[in-house]
Amino acid sequence: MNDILNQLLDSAQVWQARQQASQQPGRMPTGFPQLDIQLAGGWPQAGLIEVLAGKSGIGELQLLLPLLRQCMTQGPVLWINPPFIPYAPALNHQSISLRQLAVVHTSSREDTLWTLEHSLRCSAVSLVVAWTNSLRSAQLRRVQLAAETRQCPCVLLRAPSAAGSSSPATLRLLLDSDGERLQVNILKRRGSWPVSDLQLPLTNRLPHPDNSNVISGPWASRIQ
Amino acid sequence: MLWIYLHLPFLLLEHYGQSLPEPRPMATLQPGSQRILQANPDALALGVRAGQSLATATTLAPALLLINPMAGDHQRALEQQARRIYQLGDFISLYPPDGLLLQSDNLLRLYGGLQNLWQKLQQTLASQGITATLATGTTPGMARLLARAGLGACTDDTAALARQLADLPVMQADFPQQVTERLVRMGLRKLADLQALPGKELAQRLGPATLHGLQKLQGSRPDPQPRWHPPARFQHAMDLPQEAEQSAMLLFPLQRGYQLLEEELRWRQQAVEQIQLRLYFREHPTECLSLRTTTPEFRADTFMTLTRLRLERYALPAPAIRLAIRVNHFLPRDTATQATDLFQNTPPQQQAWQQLIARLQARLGENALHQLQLVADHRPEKAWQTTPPAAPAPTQPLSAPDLPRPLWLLPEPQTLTATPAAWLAGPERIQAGWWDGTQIQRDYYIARMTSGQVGWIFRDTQGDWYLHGWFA
Repeated sequence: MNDILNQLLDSAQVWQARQQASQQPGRMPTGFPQLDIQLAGGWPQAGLIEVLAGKSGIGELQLLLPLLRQCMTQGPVLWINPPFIPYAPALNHQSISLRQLAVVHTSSREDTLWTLEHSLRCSAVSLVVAWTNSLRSAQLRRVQLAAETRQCPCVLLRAPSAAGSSSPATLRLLLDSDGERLQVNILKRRGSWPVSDLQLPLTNRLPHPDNSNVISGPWASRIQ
Repeated sequence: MLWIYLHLPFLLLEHYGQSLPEPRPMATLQPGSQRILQANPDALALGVRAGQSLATATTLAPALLLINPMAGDHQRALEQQARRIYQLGDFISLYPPDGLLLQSDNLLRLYGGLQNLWQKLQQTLASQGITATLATGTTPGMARLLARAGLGACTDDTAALARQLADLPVMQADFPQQVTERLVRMGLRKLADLQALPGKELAQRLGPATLHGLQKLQGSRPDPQPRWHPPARFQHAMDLPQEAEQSAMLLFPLQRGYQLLEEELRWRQQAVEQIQLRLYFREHPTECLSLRTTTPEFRADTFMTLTRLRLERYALPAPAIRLAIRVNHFLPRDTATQATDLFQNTPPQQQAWQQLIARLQARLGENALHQLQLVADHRPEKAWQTTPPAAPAPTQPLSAPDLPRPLWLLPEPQTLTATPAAWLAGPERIQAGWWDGTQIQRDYYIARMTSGQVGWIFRDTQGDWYLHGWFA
């Protein structure tokens, strides 16, 4: 019996919990200590990171901003098909270097995949962020391969409905919000179990979180 | 004065042959008749001869490619060669349809003697696959006649050249047909016979033009040559011997064209930013594709990559018969980049980034890619703008005031349909734009929707509510 077990262990087919290091080398801090603990030190430096968020405006960019800031010190960042206009004054306010950010719009799935693969292969690009729901599993695998080969992170923002399907991503996060804090569910991470319901405070989203100075009037109820 | 004449007997055949991936039998047709004018070595080997009828020739060589030269083809082919020879010497005259004249006096020192110049010319033409017979002469006419007769030698011995000219049969002296016939009937076989006659008599009997021609040959009458200069733009046309039905079939001839462009740019020490590709079709209006690089560029490989991407999403509307690369503006090579290129110091990252931008633009279109920039304006829609990527940076970074702004801006404000769940901040009144006719007056609030999203909403002067962004 022992022999069989040893054979299995020798061929590295069994993952052992004790192999998981609390701090893996080459991780980029997420800016959220709670998340750092769960992700063994931070964002992985290479591979596909899937972020599943249903609605815009729940703080999904707040989660990515620290990663953006770190990557921008190494090279330009590419945004593919953002759903709205990335607003330059706000990005500037969040210390995002506009010179290091380029926005691409594609019109078809083939173009999106082509752009993803080509930009991930480019040695200058430090991070690719893409908003897409159209890529199929086989295409995601190609993106993951490109990202791992060049040791470059790629963040893919998708709809939460993708949570049910399998994905080759290194890390998958599902986001939700109650309006105050960002709720993060880790659907998949390398070398550990999924974690649900992490509550991240969004302190930097609004410059003045204090809401005592809102002047509201009788008009507030007139919105239909 | 020493002149070198380059006679290019198979110019048109070889010009067309360049656009073929592999050699095959080819022949040109006599204009207006169904007879062979000239055949290339592959066709000659199969028995095709000049003067044969079309039917005989195609029976002998079923794969024979027939070329029916159109007006201007010869000139184009000749200018293309002139452009190459111009890199060796600056005084060139064109002798359409198949000759080039080079004044070599001031080149002898540069190349270290006639022998070297001669070799250099032959190498240049051979590298293009062009057959040429060269000849020297003390007058342009002498060099030309000797070259056309195939008697040329690499010599600057004036006496020997004069003897060769005198030995030349009258038939090869390129006099008008009528004059030649009269000379032969008079029993004058060689140019020497003609030279021995008194000039006055000759002019009386055969017209002054004949005498002048002879005097120009001998050098006793000035024979000014028009000097040719390459035009200040690049145009390279490739006649496709076979109609291209798919855009991929254009790549091979294009590669050659780009190599020529690169060479041209190298000796001009210039670069280009935009290339126009013109496609000519048999029964379809000419189409023009334009390629743009992010930085001035001169390498053929880069042009080729961009073209491949551009052609991938281009379907030929009809079979293409001709292709032209055209560059209207040359840019000086940036001294800074030139210096770094010389020492291979350009940051490879920056180079890779520029390449990526150029590729994305080639595939997705020029407007698909942009960068963001701040604009000093209070109106939210006008506080930013897009710029083409890799454009020069604005000189001073604007310091935006520390006001709450959403990371996502909606392209157009949307009418707010539901009452927010909570009001987080506001109001911030923005009233601006009276100076350019797009005045706004809005009170902006930050509010949380019932869905948990945080939006940037405003009320205009009419009291209507709009959503303008998301605090993502």
